[in-house]
Amino acid sequence: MVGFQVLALAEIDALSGELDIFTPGQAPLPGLVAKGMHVPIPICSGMLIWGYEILRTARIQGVGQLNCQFLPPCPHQEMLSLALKLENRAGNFSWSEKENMLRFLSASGERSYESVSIADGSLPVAVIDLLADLSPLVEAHRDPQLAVKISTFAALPQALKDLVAEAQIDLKTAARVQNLPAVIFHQLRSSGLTYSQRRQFLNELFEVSQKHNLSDREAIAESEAALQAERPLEKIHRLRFPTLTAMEQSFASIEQDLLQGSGVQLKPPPYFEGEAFSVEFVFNSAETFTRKLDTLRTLEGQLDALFELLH
Amino acid sequence: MPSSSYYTDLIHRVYVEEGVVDSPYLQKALGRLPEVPVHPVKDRGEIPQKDLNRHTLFAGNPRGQTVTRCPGSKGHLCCNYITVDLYLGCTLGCGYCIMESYLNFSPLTVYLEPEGSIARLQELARENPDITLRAGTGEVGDSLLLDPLFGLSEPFITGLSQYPNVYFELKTKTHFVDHLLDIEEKGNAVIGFSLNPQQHVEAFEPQASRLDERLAAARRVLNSGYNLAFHFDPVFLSDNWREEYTRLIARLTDFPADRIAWISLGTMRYTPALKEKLGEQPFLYEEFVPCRDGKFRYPQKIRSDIYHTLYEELKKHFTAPVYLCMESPAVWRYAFGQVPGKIEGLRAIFQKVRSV
Repeated sequence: MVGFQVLALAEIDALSGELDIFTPGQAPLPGLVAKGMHVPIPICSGMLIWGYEILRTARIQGVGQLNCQFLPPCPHQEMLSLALKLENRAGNFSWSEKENMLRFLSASGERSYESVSIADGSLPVAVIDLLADLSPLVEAHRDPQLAVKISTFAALPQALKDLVAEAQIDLKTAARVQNLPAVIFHQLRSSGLTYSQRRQFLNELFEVSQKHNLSDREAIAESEAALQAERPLEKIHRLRFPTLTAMEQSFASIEQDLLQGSGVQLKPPPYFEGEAFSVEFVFNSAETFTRKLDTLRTLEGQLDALFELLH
Repeated sequence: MPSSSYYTDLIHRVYVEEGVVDSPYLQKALGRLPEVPVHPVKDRGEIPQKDLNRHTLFAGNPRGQTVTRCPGSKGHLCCNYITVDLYLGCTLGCGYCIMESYLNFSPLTVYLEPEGSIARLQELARENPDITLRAGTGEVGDSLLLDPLFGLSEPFITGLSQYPNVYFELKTKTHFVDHLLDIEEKGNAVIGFSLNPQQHVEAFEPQASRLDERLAAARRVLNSGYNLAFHFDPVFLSDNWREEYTRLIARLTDFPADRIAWISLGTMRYTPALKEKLGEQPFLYEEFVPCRDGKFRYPQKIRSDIYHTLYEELKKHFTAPVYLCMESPAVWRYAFGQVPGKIEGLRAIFQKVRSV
């Protein structure tokens, strides 16, 4: 059966609802559905492809029948493609909707929609390719790795899924740090750190945790201590780069003790890689020149400590 | 000698460029790969996309220069080694290898007409009679991994044996040396072994030969008349690095000092691109800082300490030149007291070869 038909709601309800995958959005204007002024609901191989929102509105408004369009049998990717075109929200789908899309595409043959796992990292290449082809309708640009990304998202613990879904951290960072205790992700949510700061915080905390083989309790304690500090990022950075930050602190201490307020700037080589320090000052008279030189002379007693930072 | 099955596990197919089908080196190799399909192609571009991986071996002719100076690294001192492209790519899959960042989608490649490279090295030897010319095939692949199949090192060793200023090095993480033992004219040929404590071999070089196997192979090549070189590269920082590397050096003290041509040191380093490829490797959780050449290294203070410690330990047992691979003048000064040009014994090997 192909072509336009008017079906009773009971008949539509009997169709497969596997493609009811989109988060309910804006409902059709009141009254329009009752007057039959809606996009005909596409039906293919016994499956309602799109129009679930129209169906829900019809139920609420007590509408008894809807316009439907029966299509020739077609594979899952064509059904999804049509649903995405009718949805027309490229670039604005939520992660859970994307999970649903991947699950729908992965369900075929013996793999039913309910039983299919998309988070086990063993997506068939065919599914990856299918979603890559559909990706412009999903993301508004072609993304060959879309299926892999969705699968990665699906495997995340819920606390991280929430952070990614709310665009509080990126998927790559989330996937990397997912074995940190979930408490840390909750702590981070209320931390006031920016997107890039959260990313840096989690990556460095993860690396510290890996390097020192921290227990969950220890990792949580480090996270708490850092987040309670005045500068959380600095605190975690000190843990991650203890040698470098110790050198920076020693240098800052020497500089502050001897040069603060003098207008003489002392600079180490970048990352303390090199063998020379530089000084810079501005003078506009013989007097100021002499004063700067006097200040510089106070450095002489600290030269060993300075060069100690380089070797 | 690795078995045929070792190689048939590594090599699943061979593509042969038209011009080298009759190469005796190729025929020798194919004799040990009886089940492996061989496809003649016009050139490398004809290899299908699906076969562009490390289980594919491409045998062909080089397109450009095969004998070049090591490109070095901006702001770092280079030992002016001459690199010879012969075997390109590697299947050892070491967890830190720079080749991971650019050879992933490349087949293993073998250049089958060594005569041009040998002639070029001979020419350089004649043009630089006053300079020690160090050359080797281990820059973009392991010198000996595929050599038992193709035997391409032999003509280099023999062809350069009459040049007293040439030290031709085969650098390896394998123990595949037995096919080299009976070569009569060895000249100054050097077999260089890349070394790390066994726990690092297991962690980061799982497909390479065990430390014991490498040291036993070093003994065999030494007994057959070759010079040796040892490369501690990359040195890994760990809580026990002093003990680990001091113990490793102690295991080398049985080797006669006068038969060791040189020893190199280099700490773990990586480019940002390589880090992306390496994934979660435990050694990456150490502190690294960006250096002038864009590579990341342990902080200078740590590197200097490592180098100084190993240098002092090596000096107790060996008279061979010890040098740093791709290090800054600052680190040279802090670790060795001087830059190589001012260190007796290193000046010679750091001298630039002319007209490379």
